[in-house]
Amino acid sequence: MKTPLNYLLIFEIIVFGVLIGNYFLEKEPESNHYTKYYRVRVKEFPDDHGWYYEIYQGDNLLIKQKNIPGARGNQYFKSNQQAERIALLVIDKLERRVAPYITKMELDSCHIDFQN
Amino acid sequence: MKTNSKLKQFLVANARIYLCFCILILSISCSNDDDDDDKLGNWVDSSVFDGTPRSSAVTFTIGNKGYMGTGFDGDDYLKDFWVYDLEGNFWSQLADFSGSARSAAVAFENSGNGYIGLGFDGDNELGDFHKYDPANNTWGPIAQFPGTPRRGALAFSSDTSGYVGTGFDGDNDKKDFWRYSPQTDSWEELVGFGGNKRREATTFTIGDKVYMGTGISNGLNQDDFWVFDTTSETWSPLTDLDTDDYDVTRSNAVGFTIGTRGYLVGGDNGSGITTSVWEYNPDTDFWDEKTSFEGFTRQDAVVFNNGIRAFVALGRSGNLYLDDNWEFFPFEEEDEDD
Repeated sequence: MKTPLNYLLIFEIIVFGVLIGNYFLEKEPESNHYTKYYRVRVKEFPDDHGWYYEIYQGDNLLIKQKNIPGARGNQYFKSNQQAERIALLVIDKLERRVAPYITKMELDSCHIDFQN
Repeated sequence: MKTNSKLKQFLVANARIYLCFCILILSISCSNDDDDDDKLGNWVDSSVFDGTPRSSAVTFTIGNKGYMGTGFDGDDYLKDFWVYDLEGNFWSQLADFSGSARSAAVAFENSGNGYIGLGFDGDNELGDFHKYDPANNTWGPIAQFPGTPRRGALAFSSDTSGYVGTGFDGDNDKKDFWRYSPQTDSWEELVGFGGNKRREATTFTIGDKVYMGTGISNGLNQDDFWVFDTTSETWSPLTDLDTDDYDVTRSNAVGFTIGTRGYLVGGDNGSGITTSVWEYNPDTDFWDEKTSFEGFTRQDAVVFNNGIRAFVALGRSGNLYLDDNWEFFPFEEEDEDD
């Protein structure tokens, strides 16, 4: 029975096996680290009345923070360093999986210029 | 001859292999769509903060912005406030709520402003109300609610007024309703609601009609169902929520509107927390079941709803506080992979 035809049969089984295996592998949800990875982008308003930040989870915009979070009124960060300080604090909270809201006490302790 | 029979053997074996794989593939692809379903509706996962749960929050929606805040995370009562951009699928933190931290408050929208009040701070039921101005990102107190301080109440609005009623005041479930007039910053009691007292009920608004039902009192889910005409300010009874054809009764559910249909999602149906979703047709006064909610079973969730789109988020399932956000597409087939 050892003929080239039998080898061809075995070869076919392997090819089908690989094809079906691939089908299942592709259906697995993409769970790479990149989608869980937070990063920040600090930007200046075009009419230079201040700075704001955006926080991305992978490629997706998750938080766009134009006003100073928690503070009343339309107040904006006075410098990119101040915006970045709060953005990094928010990312730290997201990574520790605690609610990412910022309190006025945290704004004070991060030396953010704002009016209460 | 010998090569011929071998070739025949090969072809037979080959055919068997093909047949096996065909059956295998058919059985795989069929097993994906054999569940329930003549029901329509699809739920799609949207953006929210992983691992930061909250239940009994309040929301109001203005255009494409969903405003959400206060609530309880399992340890603390909250007073932070956020806006969710329905188009862009992202969040921004706003000015903190000007009242005390609380859960089970109510909110309504009127003339582009949000109004939030009542609720529970862990010790007491609350009676204060506050107005949020989205253009200026500021909060300020308005006239105190004249009924007894309470939680688990209802709020809805017309073009000119806000309406607040029912709820639990610490001693009793209530059935009174009040109208708030933003022009004069004053409250006035509305008489004429003939339904039962209750807490944790639900409304949805279709045009100038507000549909009100569900909720619980003395451990019993209420089955009366009402429509409030905001132009004449009158209540009329509709078919009960518990008939031979369906049983929609529940408490702590969410209600919303898409187009000309109303929807009820989740809540506690008396035997436990449910994922069931029902669609109300006001033309026929009849309910149809839709694809069940694809997230965890839940109660005390919030909904962002502008009449066109609806997102159901947060809430809790027993002692598990939830952190997700799902958009509902009522006329699509269910797709479990989105």
